[in-house]
Amino acid sequence: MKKGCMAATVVAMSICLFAPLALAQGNWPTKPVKIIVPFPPGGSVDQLGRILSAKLSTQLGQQFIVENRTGASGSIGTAVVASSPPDGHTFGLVFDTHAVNPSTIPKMPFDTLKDLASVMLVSTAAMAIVAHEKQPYKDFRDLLEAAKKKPKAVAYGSVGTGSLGHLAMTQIGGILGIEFNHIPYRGGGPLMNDAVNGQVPVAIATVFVTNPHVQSGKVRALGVTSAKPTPQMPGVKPVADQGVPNYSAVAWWGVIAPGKTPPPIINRIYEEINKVLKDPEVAQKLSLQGMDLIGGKPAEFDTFLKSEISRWAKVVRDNKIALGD
Amino acid sequence: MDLLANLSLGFGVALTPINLLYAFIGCFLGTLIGVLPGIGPVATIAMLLPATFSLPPVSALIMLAGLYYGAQYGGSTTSILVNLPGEPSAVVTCIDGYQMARQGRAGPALAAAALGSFFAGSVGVLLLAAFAPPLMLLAAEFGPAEYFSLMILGLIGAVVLASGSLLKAIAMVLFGLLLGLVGTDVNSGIPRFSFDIPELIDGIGFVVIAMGIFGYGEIVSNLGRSEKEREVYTAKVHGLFPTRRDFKDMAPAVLRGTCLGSLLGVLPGGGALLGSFAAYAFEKKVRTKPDELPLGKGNIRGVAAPESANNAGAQTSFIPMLTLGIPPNAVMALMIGAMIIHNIQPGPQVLTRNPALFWGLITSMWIGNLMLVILNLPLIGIWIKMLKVPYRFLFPAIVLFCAIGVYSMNNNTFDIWMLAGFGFVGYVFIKLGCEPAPLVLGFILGPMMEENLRRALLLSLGDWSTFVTRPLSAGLLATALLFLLVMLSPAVKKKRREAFEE
Amino acid sequence: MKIKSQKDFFSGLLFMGLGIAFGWGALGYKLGDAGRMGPGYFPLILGSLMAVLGAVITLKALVGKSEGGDRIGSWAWRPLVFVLSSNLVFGLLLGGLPSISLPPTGLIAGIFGLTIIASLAERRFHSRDVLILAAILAVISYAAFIALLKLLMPVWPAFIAG
Repeated sequence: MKKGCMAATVVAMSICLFAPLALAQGNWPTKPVKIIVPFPPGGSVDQLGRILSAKLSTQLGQQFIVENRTGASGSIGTAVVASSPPDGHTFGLVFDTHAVNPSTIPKMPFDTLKDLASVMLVSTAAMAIVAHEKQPYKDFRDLLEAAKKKPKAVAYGSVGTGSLGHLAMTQIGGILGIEFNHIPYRGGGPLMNDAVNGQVPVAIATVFVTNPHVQSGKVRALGVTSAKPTPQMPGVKPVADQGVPNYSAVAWWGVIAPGKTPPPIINRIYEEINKVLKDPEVAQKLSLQGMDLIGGKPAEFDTFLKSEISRWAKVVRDNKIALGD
Repeated sequence: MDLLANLSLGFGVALTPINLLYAFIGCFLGTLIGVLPGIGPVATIAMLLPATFSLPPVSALIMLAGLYYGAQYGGSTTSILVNLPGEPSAVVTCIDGYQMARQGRAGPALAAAALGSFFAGSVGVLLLAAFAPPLMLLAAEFGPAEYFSLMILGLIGAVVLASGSLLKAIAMVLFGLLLGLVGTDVNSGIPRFSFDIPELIDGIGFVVIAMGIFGYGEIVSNLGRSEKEREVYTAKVHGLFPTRRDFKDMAPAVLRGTCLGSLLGVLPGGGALLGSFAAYAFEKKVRTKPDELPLGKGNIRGVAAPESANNAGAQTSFIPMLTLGIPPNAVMALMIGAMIIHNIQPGPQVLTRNPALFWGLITSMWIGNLMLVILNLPLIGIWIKMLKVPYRFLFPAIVLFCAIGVYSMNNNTFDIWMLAGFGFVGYVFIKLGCEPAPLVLGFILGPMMEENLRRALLLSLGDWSTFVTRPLSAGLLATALLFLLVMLSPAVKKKRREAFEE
Repeated sequence: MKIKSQKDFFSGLLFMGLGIAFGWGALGYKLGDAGRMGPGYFPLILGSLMAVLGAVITLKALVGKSEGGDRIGSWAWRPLVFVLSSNLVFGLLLGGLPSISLPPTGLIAGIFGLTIIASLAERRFHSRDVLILAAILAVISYAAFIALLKLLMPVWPAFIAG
């Protein structure tokens, strides 16, 4: 009899302990969910947000609404996520700027690691270094040769000061003792415009932004920054094979949530988004955006984020970027 | 000829009932957005983008394009009626358009805008269809040095925009330039003049400044006038249509505006904006007939020319997008997003891989322009009726729509505070007799000018001679100098003083 | 010295002040040199130019010729205060103010607040007319912005919207 009572008590206690968690997991979402997109409509982050919101709405029978809160390289929208209630009904999307902002933006209204929780590393994308067709460089090695000759011998354009392309080239320059002449632009559009016209000899931007122009022959791809060649640019060697051993720098997209969101809910969000990513239609749309799907788990994303933050913090510090020069 | 074959292919696609319907929806929504001050095409295209997922690509693009130039048409409506430019390109229309409205000539002003825009749009589409490649070649020669020189030319022309004191106009341009510099500096990456306010890191929005300075300033100033002075605005309405005399005056202005607008529109990044300013400045230099009102006091040419320019520019600004896949502004970037969702890779291949799409879109643009004229002309009657609403009901509505419009851009109440601030500034300027148009031009050109100046110097490694050794840039600077000399020459100065003393 | 043109005199002072303010701010950034401009270079030049121009305008207002003193005239204080306040109140009601934990009251409340306060700018204030106007504007705004254009903003206060 006693054993039975014990067993019953244990079972009862377990139910009491785990039921709320199970209920929380089971019940989410209980009202419309906001997906904060910190970038303007039409861009890659926004497209991702809208694809996710459409699919999640049908998957979970609850409205998932995209809210664009743009500005300051995404930090304004991210601040909104950080200060939202941690009940799983608000989460946000971020871009690789999220790892660079802590080092370049003074006085951010939130702490990237403490006030936000990592949910998923959705995808990554390689960047390509391209040269105008009239330039003599056939591959990245040629470019390095020319650049070694004297400081600022080679000019290259990026989508902005502090952008991943800028930081990657700076890091490569640091490793090899080369000083490039960095020409910042406001985004991929203006950059590629000048790159295609030959007004700037070399440019670095995501494969997605550069590929159409490589295909049309106006620019030549010299190398990619991923560790391995990317399927969208077959035959273009990674810079790791062209003089910068073991180098890899990728653009990435991720999902974050307010810092105090309970882990079971974070896991639910992760699983649901994972289901969406496994849909072949979604996978195809995203790969058209140049994304290589990863679907990294919360803990994996957290590790990745921390390493990106410290990596780029060092580049920013060593080169005094975004401090007024 | 190839062109005819392509055009007939295009019309075949564009004239299907379903595409005509979508063109109409786009134009209608676009007009609505253009008329509601502050809410730009960007926000709406973003809203409609998911809806276009389910549409066939051609239809989706036709609708989005209709939205874009529909907004251009609608934006000039508010400029004329209530001195509120919804878009940068509509700022110049305010100058003479609003004066015409205050003289009871809102009808002819609106008609001039619509008809001029239609003519220019048709020409623009033709240029787009026939001359896209050579126009692109011209645009390809424009590097940072050339843009800088073009902007210098633009700034000198800006001073012509004002009718009053030359010195104050220059000072307003400088103030506009400085306001434009608020925000993140592209070359160094640090925010300037942002006082650590996150919303200022990306600079002050054009809509906020325009709504505040033009809209609110005018409202407060109007309320300050006695009832009697205000009645003039709404009571006498002299006919809804332009007179024969108006048409005669308008026609050459429309032609001039179309030329300038088409050429400048091809230049990605700001070319289209310059179009309307350039057209207006040019009109001012054209000798006025003895019985014509001077530009700035309600001359119909001051409406027809910039409106033609900006619509021509709106069409030709599609050229870089369609031929190279490079979006010249935020709206086009969205359309490229739409193409991608439909698995169309924008760029040079669109022409060869998807000729039906390309030509269908182009012919639909012309059809859209036609629809807009048909839509807008009867609307003129409705707008005029609206003007008859007593001002005490009208002005809270304007205040409200400006505030909502500004808020809808970023969902940030900070923008509403800034709107109030610029409203105050706008009223102060009216009291001090400083004109806002040069400020707006400075505001638009300032950041671009500095960006291109520094970029040109970065590329030339600090060598200033790059501006005169590059032929196109040298040519533009020479023209600017010539313009300046003409303006400063004593003969012109005397004529100016005479003109104003009358 | 008589002020020949009041408008120009004060405009000049305003420009001088703004020019000095921007120039001073620009000094806080790296200047660089002409060949490699820092972020402060261009603003400093512009600010200085503006200050100089402001001074010239002010001086001309003292010595130049003009008819009638070019007076500024009276300021429309009442409209100014009420129109701007209506705008500020609209913002407060629409979006709330996080720094004092004021939650958003929503669009409809904002429209009523704005209309009432803006209408106070007029000397004649008929409360019935104003309320009807506010109601009409609320309906039009809801139809155009929320229903048709699907813009996202708080419409009702939290306790109604849930």
